[in-house]
Amino acid sequence: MSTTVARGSRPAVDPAVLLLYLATLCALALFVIYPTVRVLITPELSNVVEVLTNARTIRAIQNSFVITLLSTTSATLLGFVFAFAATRRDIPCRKLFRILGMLPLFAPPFMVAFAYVLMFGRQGLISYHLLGLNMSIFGWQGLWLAQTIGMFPLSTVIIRSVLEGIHPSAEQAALTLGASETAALRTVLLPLALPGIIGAMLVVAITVLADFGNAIVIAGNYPVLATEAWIMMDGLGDLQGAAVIVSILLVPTVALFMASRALLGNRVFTTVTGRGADVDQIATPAFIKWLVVVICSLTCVLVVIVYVGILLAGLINQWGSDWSLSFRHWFGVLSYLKELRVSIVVSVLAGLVTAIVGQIIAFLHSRSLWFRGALDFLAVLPGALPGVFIGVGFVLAFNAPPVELAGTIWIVVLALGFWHLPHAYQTTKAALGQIHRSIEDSARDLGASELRLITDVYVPLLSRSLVASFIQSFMRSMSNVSVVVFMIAPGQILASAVILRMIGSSSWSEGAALTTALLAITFFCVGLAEVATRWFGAPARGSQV
Amino acid sequence: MNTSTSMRLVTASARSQAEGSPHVRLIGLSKMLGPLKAVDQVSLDIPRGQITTLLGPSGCGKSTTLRLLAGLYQPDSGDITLDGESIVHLPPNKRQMTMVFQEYALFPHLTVARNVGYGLRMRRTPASQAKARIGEMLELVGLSGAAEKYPHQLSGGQQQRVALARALAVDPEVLLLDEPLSNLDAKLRVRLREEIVRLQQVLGKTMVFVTHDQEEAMSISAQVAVMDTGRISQVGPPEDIYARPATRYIAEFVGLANFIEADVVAPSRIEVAGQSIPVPTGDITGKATLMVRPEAFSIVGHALRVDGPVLRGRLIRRTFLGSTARYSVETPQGVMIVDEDAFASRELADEVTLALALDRLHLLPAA
Repeated sequence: MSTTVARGSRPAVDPAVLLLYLATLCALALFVIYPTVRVLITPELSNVVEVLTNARTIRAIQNSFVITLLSTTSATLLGFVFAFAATRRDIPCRKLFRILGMLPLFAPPFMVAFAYVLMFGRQGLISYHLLGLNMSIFGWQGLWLAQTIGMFPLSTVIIRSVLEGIHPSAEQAALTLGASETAALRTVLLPLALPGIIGAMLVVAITVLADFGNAIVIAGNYPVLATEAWIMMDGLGDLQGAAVIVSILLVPTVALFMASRALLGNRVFTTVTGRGADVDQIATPAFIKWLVVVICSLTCVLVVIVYVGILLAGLINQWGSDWSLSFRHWFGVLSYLKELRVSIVVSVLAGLVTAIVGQIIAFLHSRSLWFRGALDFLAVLPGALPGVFIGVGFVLAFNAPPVELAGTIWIVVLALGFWHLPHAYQTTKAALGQIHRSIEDSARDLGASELRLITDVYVPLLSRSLVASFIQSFMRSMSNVSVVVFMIAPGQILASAVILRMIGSSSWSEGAALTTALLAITFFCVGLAEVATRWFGAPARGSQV
Repeated sequence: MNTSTSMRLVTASARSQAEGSPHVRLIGLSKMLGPLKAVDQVSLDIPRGQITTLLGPSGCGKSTTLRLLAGLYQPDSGDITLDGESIVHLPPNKRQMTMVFQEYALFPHLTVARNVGYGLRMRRTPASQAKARIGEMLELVGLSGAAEKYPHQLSGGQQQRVALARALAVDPEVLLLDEPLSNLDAKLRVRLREEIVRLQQVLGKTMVFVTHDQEEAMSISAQVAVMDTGRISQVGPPEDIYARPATRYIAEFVGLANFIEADVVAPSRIEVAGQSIPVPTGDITGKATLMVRPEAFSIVGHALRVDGPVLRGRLIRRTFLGSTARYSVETPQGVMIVDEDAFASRELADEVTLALALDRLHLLPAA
């Protein structure tokens, strides 16, 4: 946006804005930098040596590397196929693929693995009871499958926006110059999509490395770094060891994060030139078309199984032995009302923290203040931090004075709220870029102060991104496990942590029923927020969770 | 196409084929786009080695017609022939027609040289031949120095030159140009259009040019086909279209015109404001409309005697346009627009007489 350049010449800064700026910097220092630094300085050399010479840790490092390679490759490929399907006008059922292909994004991070254990595990409904197979899904194969299905939509979103930015006339030109349709896709579409594909790989790789939910449910005796950190703390009470492990995990995630920022950072994901009519798109070669349809259909079956499996499992009387339908587990959810209430309170507060802080930082970033680059860096940094790192970091940082938060819900709220900042910040920054400088200038010209600018110009115009930020953070908080498992205090257990415990003790149907309840509450609240924005009169557009 | 002929600038087909027969024929082409009849029974003969322009406002079906020609769309009915042979069933890559797009459509990931060489690569032209051809083409469009640059490093005008070179590199039978100049600023547009005319003269290519700009169409074409709501409403040399438009719509679309009510009183004779004027009437009878272009009027002094038809009126507005001045003259037949040399100084509110040039009048059916 050229507006940021023009903004460089602002002479005076409103004292109120300055105060807000200092407060924001302090908050970021306290809740982003401080926990990070605490993790890095806590272990002593002996801890590091001990962990690094431990055979199990070595295995976890190797496993993390292998599974990241496998899942990233498969999830990105699948994401590309879905992105391709969504952007070709002649792919049958593309709308259906588009919708079903996004569903895993809304599932709690452990849900895909949980559903596959229910369906394909030793007592699996499909594997054992329908097909009579004696197979086990626990281990790297199961983790690979769960991560592939759970994470391909992430790459779909990135690759799709790159594909949408390619003007159809480029392919048409190739055709008139003598290329066949297949050659046009190979020599024009694929090279143009490559930055998007690589960017998607980097983003997926970070997510796979940090994936705690699927790994804890399905990896079985296949240690990876994300779960190892928790086992070390929860099982062995070794906080130093956990700090070493999450620090090891931090190295590749930060490197991948920097690479993805370099590649995708300044890229505008929506089309700039305006997309030509769909009808201008060249025909997709038949064999590619049907290959895409087959791959998408099979994947969608696996996606539907996740949701149907969880819904069904909650309605089975006794998983594995008595397959009769029963509502007893659904009624059983009532005994976890307290945990659900804690989840909702924490998630609403975390959503508010994310949305408000995100808006403030994006607004401040648009002013010409000092340390603008640092502000930007701090706001996106949490995106590079795995959930288990945040968990360990907040426990280390706020368990004792000077700032003691342990035992209160605030430690969870702040951890989740600040962890989810990057998406909120970037959404708002993009929305801010859409506000033309002249709008602001005319308000200023008519006598508005800086603060009046915020209340009269920015808040009304940004309410859409505010709600999107809130919803995103709220949803992720409701289902989070990687951060909250580190912060379980008596009387303040979140529903997602309870589900994890149920899965651990093979209480399948109870876990499934509570997951169903969690999903229902989440979608209900999101729907409520959507309705609320419509009432606000903000321009209604598709939710951007 | 065999590659040795493709190495020559002037196509073999342009020279060897009989001059008389049309190079390309569109026969009763129709195409629905959604619920819209984008192209409706279009028939057109495209002469060899000349520029034919499809002219019309946006949405008239001209670009769709061009895409049908390129094979990017399949017609619902109708036929297209190239040298008398039907090509309507051929995919775009087998039609030997290349296209230049409004938005250039260069491949952003390829250098200028590789863009120009793309079609040759698709035809598996040997590398040494391809290289020579690329050099030749870049020289032709004056971009020899830019071979290793990427499209985003070039200006809009340069990008469109690359697009031209890329389309010409494979020595197509027909070059299709889809509003190639409309993304350029006014000065550049004129320069590049002169360049296209020059290229056409050097290469003798058959070109089909789509534009909504009547001046562009008039200045470059040997033949203009005016399109309106999916149909061709008139085909002919630009001079014909301008001087003898078939309808009032075309008359207005290809320039300014005054329309005066008239009555056909006898074959080749009409009456306007009580004066009898000789004008070819064709098969128009009764009420009619006389079209007079602004330059077909001349302003004469009130006192002078004029042989031939005149209108009398009052000068009410003068707009200076540089080399000419445009006057509005209020007459009992309505306000007339008159163009005249800018250096004659006239007072507003003067009573004037407008003389009509008899050889430049054109009769249209009554509106």
